[in-house]
Amino acid sequence: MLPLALAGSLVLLLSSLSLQGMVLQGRQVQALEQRRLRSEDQLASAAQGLLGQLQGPYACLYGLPSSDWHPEALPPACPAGLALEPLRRWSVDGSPVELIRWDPLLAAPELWLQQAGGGLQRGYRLGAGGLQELGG
Amino acid sequence: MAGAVFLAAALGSLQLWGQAAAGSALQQQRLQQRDAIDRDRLLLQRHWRQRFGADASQPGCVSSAQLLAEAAHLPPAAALQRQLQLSADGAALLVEWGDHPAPRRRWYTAAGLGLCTPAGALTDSQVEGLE
Repeated sequence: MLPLALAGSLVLLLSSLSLQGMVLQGRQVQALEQRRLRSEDQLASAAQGLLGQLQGPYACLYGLPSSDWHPEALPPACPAGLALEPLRRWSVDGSPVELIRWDPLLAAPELWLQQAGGGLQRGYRLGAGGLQELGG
Repeated sequence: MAGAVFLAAALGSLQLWGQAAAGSALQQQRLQQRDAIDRDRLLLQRHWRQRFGADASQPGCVSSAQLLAEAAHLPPAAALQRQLQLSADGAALLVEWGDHPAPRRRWYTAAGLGLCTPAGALTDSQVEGLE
């Protein structure tokens, strides 16, 4: 009788542990997913803010690709001593985001951003409906 | 002896099953909340475009305060918390979904939503007038 009880107990415990393992694995996947969503929120927020600057205080740079932004050769419409660093290194709720590329010369202008330190990268296309995510 | 061993194993197993079921329910709840947040985010963006898209033919931008006022008129789905807050300089609107300590947050600007028209740009009617 005892061997049968031991075998039954073992089966019960192993099946429960296996189920518990699956739940823990699911929790890890969900934590990673949560982190990715948070990163996407930060990048999307930075894109909104940057475009606000490019259509506001930095409007003189709107039509110029970011590869052509040089402090010594800014368009005449720009005020003297305009600082470019705030545009190149943005911050969302304390997390730094870097501008990789702004290209307004495409049929639909594109903005590419990356979390500082080689984090998540996302591109956005500016259409009639605003910024649309392009994917990593 | 055999009965005692089996009973102990069954009780331990029951406890583990209970924990697993609770964990699984929590995961399901988080998935549903993520979907609800995405739906609400898309609904908000569509609402802003429908409300202000026509005004984008006028030079200038919709203000963040206008975005906030419109968002406040669109109630979130039941069981979803949404909070709205203007940035210190009033240039952007923060939308925060979900509970503390881990809410989702997105900043919005009229420019990012396509609700700005540069002062120098021509409207459709002006273009037609030139043709």
